[in-house]
Amino acid sequence: MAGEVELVAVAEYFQAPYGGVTFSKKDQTPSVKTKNGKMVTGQTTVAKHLSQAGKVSSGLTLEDQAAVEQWLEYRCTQVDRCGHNGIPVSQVLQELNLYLTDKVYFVTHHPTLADIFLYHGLHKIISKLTFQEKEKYVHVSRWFDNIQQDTTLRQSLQLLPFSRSSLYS
Amino acid sequence: MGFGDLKADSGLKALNDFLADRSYIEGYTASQADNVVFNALSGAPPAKFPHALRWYNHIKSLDRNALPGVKKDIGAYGVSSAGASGDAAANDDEDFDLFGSDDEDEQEAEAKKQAALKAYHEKKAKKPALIAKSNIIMEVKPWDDETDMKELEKSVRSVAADGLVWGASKLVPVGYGINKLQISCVVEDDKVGTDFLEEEITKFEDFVQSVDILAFNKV
Repeated sequence: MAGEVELVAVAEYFQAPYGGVTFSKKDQTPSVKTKNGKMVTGQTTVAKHLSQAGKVSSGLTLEDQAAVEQWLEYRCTQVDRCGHNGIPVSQVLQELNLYLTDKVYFVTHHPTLADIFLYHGLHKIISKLTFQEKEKYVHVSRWFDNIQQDTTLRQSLQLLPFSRSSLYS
Repeated sequence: MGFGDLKADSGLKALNDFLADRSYIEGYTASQADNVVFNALSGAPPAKFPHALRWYNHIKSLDRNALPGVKKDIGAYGVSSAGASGDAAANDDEDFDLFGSDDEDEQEAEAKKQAALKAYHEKKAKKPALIAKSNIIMEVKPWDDETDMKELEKSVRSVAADGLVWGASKLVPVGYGINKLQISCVVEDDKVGTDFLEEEITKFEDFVQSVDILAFNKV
């Protein structure tokens, strides 16, 4: 299941214990019990909890944290909803491509939760692109190719091929 | 090998092209390779090299001396670094060289090869390029017997392009008083294609119903 793979990736990347995460039978919503006994529910919330509970400190400033949060929201409201009768895929890719023009990672200079979430969210979309389209969104492709090389982040997802051809440029 | 002069535009352009679909100089993490190339730059690349500038800013933010990996000669990085220079670097790394003398021979052979290659390229550059030409015979069909065939031929011959020369033409009767125009032309393959010709001729839609390629011969 896609949601689980993603949470495992988050947990492993931040070296947080994954054990407590359960999925509701009704709609597969994940939830986890925090240290002080409260339950947190929802994909993004659980992921955020895992990223903070881990041994790896994210070391983000408040501004960076806010930026990460905005990208998590972008993933839920834009990436997850693009396709047939929602937002056009090309629009999302174009936006991301423009944003990544001068960046290696989404926020700061190392991978954050935003990169993990967008990588998992975009995998399905990018796997359907032709080489020519990947070339068109070259910044997204570069970022994606870089992220997917980390096996902790990729987990069981397929390694997607990227190849530049002078044919398309 | 390498990027050339990284303080000049030509080197920066090579670096920019190289980084278009890569985040780092080597592999998928920052390494000493990035540090070496970073230090070879005279400063931040200008905005017309967006990929190089993005990479520069990213590397600048990292602790460059703490990056993993071993420093290599700058020539070892870049597009075609997998070949000779990579081997040379590998040779340098070895403390103990069993075939010391062979190495010199190799270098000599390599130098000879390079000289021969250079001579070949010079010769090649002097030789004029052969221009590939084709002789095309086309059939242009009018709408009906009332189409002015003289006007049609004039229109067809008015199509002009670099590397295109019109040749002889004749009218061939089809039946019911209708004639079709057969016209030959010689084109330079690199400059003019059949698609272009067909498109241009069918633009005279007052006269032309259709265009067919009757024969296509290399000259």
